[in-house]
Amino acid sequence: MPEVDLAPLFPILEEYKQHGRTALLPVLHAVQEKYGYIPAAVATNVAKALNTPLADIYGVIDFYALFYRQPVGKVVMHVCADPVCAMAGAEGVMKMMASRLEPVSPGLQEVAAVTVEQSPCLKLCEMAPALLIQGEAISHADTQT
Amino acid sequence: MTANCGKDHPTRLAEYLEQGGYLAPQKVLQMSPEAVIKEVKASSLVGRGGASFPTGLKLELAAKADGQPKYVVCNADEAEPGTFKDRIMLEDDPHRVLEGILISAYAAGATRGFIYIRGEYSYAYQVVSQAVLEALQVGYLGQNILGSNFSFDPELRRGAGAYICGEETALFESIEGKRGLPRVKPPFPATSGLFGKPTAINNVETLANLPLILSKGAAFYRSIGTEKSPCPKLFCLSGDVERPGLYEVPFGVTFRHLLYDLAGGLRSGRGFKAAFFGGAAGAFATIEHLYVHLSFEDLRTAGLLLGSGVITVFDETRDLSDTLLRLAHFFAEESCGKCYPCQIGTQRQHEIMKRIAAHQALPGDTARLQELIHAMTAASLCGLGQTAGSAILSAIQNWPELFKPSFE
Repeated sequence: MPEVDLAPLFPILEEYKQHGRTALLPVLHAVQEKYGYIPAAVATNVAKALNTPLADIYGVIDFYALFYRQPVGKVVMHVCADPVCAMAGAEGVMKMMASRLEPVSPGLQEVAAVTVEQSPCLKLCEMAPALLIQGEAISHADTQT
Repeated sequence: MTANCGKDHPTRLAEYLEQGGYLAPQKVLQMSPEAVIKEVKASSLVGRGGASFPTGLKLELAAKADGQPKYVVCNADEAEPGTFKDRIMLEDDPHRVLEGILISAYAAGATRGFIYIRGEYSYAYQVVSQAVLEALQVGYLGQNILGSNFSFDPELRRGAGAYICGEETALFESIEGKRGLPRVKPPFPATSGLFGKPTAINNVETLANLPLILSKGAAFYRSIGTEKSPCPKLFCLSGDVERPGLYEVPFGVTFRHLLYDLAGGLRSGRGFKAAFFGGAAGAFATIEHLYVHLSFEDLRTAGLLLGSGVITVFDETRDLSDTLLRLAHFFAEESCGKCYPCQIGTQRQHEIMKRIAAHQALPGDTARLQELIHAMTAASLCGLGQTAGSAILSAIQNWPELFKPSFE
């Protein structure tokens, strides 16, 4: 793995470290946004700054679906897989997205351009089928969109 | 309650004030916290997140508990499949929710507060952040609100993709920087909640009711709805309806009125097969239930669940075993893993539903499901495991043939 540039991390830790462990999720959100995942070197520094065991940091990263240990695509898409969106054709949208993307072998140093994941209900049921692209909601999604 | 919703833009402070916003805090800050609690109790408001606990009592318990600081929390980790009422309230009328949490803080004697917004709601988070800044600038939040001795400035927190964090104690764990594993109750949040301190945690819709109750009075509020279920309720209609969306109705209207008169009936003129009430952990209504009144007492009598007000409609062409499979998958994914009945039970439930949805049911699958769901309901630590099988049980009752091998 290439070395991770820790410079962007330090302002984040400066802002939050006084709060201790309760700041862990806000810190991880900021890291996820900056780096696109939580690099090991970053996790270690977060553990020190927040005075929290590294095992607990990883426990939190692994528990929550929006935090990633491995690099994900520069653009992350979440396609809703729950009943209402399925009834409106989300499965078709998902299959189409997956077929359009080139497969990337795990462990490659290149980050895929796009990661597509299934997601639980995105609360856009009245405008199904729904997906999130980098956190932005797309509703009434069809293969054209 | 939804007067400011559906305008395609968030209601900014100026517009909110024009509509009569922030009148309640002006009254409330002249009252004692006990008087505020009395008014909320008199309104009979109960929680809108699904558990329906009396809100006035919840505030009173926190107010009377020992421990400082006290906290109030707005639970905006809306994750029940099919519900989107809180998203709309937060995006379209954030100040109403802020007004509500302010009132709850004053009543409970809380000096600190958190608004915990689901991680996937980035837009709602931005809108509420902006609303908090607006309110701070003008003095509706912050130090010495409206010239009183009361100060309150809620902190916003984002969830990170865990349905279980909608469970109140799991939400506290998340704010505390841990995995969202629910706690054993008792003790209850009112006495030992966030950071072990007295906490009054309420759903977005519950808090959004408080400004109306305190500005117009409990008597006016009770004039809407039924005797046992007063007040308005938000319903989320989705699925095979002509006009899916958020509907605000007084308690007591019939399901038929909501479905046909308001939501335009079934899409493409198809026939009605079923409607799923309550959320992922809910029950199916069939054609016999069309004239049931939407109130706590009437739905209970009909064997249905109000839950958080989710109603997903299925037309005659829908394969309900696919829906049940998706719900089973949802619970298996979202189970936190802390207790075996749920951790293993939701996995087994999903396995069995996979073969049922593939029309490969084994003899005895119905009994297998019933036994396992009863075990989960009786022995799980929290509401997730306790209700993970309710949709399937309801489907077994209404469509037992779905669960039998094809040769039977």
